[in-house]
Amino acid sequence: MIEVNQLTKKFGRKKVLDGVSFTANKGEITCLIGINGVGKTTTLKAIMGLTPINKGSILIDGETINKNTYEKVAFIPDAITMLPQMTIKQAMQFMQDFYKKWNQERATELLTFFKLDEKTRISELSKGNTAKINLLMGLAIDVDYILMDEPFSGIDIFSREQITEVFTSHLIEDRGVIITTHEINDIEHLIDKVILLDNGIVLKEFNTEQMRQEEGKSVVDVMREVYIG
Amino acid sequence: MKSYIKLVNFEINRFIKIYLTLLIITLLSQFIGVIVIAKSKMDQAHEVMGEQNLSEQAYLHDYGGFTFAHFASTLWFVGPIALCIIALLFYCLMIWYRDWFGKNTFAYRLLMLPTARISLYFSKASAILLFIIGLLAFQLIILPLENTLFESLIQDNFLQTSMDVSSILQSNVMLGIILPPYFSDFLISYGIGMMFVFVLFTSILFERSFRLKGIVFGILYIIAAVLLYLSPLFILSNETYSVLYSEEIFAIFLVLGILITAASIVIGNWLISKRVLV
Amino acid sequence: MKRYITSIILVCMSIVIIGTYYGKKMVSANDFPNYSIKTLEGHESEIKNVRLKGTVEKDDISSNVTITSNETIYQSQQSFMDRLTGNNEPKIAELKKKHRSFMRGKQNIYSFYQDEDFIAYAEAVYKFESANKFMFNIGLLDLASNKEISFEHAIPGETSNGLHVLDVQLIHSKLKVVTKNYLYINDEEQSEVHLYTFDLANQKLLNDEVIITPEQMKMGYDVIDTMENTPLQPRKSIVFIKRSDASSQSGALVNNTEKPVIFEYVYEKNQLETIQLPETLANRVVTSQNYLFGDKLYIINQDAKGMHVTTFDIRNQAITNDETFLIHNSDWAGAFPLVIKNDRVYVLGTSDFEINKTANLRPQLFIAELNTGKILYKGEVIPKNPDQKYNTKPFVLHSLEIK
Repeated sequence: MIEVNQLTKKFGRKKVLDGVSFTANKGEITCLIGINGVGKTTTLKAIMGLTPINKGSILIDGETINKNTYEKVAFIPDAITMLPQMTIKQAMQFMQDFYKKWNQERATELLTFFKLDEKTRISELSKGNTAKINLLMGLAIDVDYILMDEPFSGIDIFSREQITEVFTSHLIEDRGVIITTHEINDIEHLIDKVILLDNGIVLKEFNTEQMRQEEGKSVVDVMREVYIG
Repeated sequence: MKSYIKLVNFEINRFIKIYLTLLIITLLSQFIGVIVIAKSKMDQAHEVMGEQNLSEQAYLHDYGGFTFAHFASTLWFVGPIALCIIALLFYCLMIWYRDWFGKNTFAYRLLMLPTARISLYFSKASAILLFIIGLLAFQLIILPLENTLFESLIQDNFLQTSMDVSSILQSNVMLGIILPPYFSDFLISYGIGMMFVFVLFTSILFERSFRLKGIVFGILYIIAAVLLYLSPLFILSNETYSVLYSEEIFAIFLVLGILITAASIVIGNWLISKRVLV
Repeated sequence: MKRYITSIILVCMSIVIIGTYYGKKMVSANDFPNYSIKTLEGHESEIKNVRLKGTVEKDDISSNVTITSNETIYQSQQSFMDRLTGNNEPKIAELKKKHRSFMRGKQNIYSFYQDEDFIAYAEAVYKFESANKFMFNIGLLDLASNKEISFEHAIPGETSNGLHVLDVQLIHSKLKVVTKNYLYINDEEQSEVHLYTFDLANQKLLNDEVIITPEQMKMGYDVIDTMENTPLQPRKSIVFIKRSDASSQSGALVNNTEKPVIFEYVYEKNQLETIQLPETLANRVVTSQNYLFGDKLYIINQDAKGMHVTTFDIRNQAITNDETFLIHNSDWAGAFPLVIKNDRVYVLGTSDFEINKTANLRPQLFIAELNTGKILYKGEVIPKNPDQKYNTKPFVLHSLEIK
């Protein structure tokens, strides 16, 4: 379980996160939704120890982030995280070098699934293929949790379909996923839990299944309610 | 430890192309320089002999012969060394910033490696150190070859003295500093050098952690470290005779050096583990 | 493994190459040549007590060397600490070992005085903040109780042009400091010799007197060095020589009415006494080397005929001995090392390497009887291993000691 407790983060005087608390469980897909602001990405970075926090605590299976938890949580940022001159093969080699839990079989499987050639250089990849490689680098480690930052932003529809397909596959299985997005449509049916963020605070946290059964509302319905009123 | 070695290897491979280019520039410049300088010295000598109607002996009596030191002070020889020094100084900055700048934020990857982040800090410092000693070794290897070539191009009578590597290194102030005659001096030179690399790395991490404010912290940190290190000089220069024995002054510098290096590593470790931003 | 190949090559090559370079230097540093004294005339027993000192430079590493009749001793192969502390006077190094605290900041060998009970020190040091620029830095160490007195004292008068200490003596608990002070008079650099007397117990300057005036200095006054082992030893007096006109040192006297004179300043008497030199010596002292040993003044000249040594007793004001030794070489440096001891004259004939780099002259050692001029021994310093070209690398002998 990833527990985020009273997370507060300031950029200068501006509070981007102001006492944000939520949990994300293994085997669930948790979606961080925010209409505007930078809070979502910052939350993921804070979980990964890529930005210092002002207040609060973050625990991953009861532990604060440390070198061992990097074998437990993978972060897939919305950026190129490999050196441009590397080929995909070299990038995978790099991962294999450092991660004990790197699973080359799964990496090859994903490569075939995405129809990518391992001789391609990172710098030659399109935006969509970059996202796929990022996903590959994260999913090929046998981690318990995967954090994805805007996996669908700015990529073509077919890449989007492929990525969505991954979510329903055995590649996710019983891992816990935290995903940030503002385009809910593609993945609404996959999400187990939604956290609605705005101006640095959690406006609403709910279970999508429960919401549908008990109140008959879709995620977008709730969002409309919360954000527009 | 294992991942530290992997990281060092990684850092070396990342720079190896530019590094090899530097070595090749040095090699070409120095060897071409030997040929050009040796030829021009001989031509000049013959010209002077022709103009003033001097015999070889008379010329050598009046003007003296040539030594490798004549070549070692030319831009052909010193230029590539200076270039390498500047390139490595610049790379001390780039070894960090290249991970952050541009679209390729490799810093994400590095900071999320399942290893203590201080390994990154040490691996980058080690890579710099290895690049430096690699350049020194390269110069030591090609120097005797250049010397042999030089001596073969200068007519026997015109060769004033045949120099060995250590006397060549002593003939040039710059060489005397980068390859001192004693190993202890070598350790001191590069110990101080590495201390400065650590101070610089920590100040870069200040900037990477606190950005604009960090620039101020970083610059202040460098100034503070330099002033602290040189403080015995300021204090001692107020007295015309030193109350301290030279071995005690050395001990003070040694302790200060260790202190500043240790402080840089401790602060650097804190910054890279807790404060650094991507 | 393949991916590590560049790093492995880089690391191994660097370590091997740099290691070999410094390793070779270290090995060759221990590989200094051995020398021996080859007897040309006389009996080897004469050189039993002789120690020749100098420096040998090899691959830019210079080392102090002591050569005796059967050994070549390199005192230090220049360890890091040796280079750091600088190879000062061995006497100072010895004192530093014994009295580390007292010896702090004290370096000038002429500023020390040592007897069985005390070590005294007086040095003129430059002060930025002081108006007079120079101050006396005075110290006294009681060897029995290990108690130290240390104080600074202003120097009266104008000292901004500097001064240096010639001698320090402790006479009846009063510290006598003789200095040569530099002055500017009428835009001309001049000097005078002062004697400062300090009351150490009260840290007070009791007296400052000029014992040689600028006018006298201009006439060519000079201090005569002693031949005793160190300048630390107690002396009753300081002796000056006046060599007629300083500007006519080239030879003939310009002004014949100005005869060279010896002056002795006896500390206990507080006065400068004139000692007339006999006519026969008057011309010679102009170009001579002079040494004092106790009451004996040795006046040494070298010319084409050989070396003349005259012994003059300053107590009785009489020449007690005058001999010519057939020792001569025009390539030797002007003032060659010389020791007079055990009624023998020991001379080290060396060529000045700095001036005469190509000279292939082997250093020679002469021992002669002081009273008869008879050469008892003649030998030369040669490398033990004949193919060592010692003259291609600096090998300089600069002094000799007789045990």
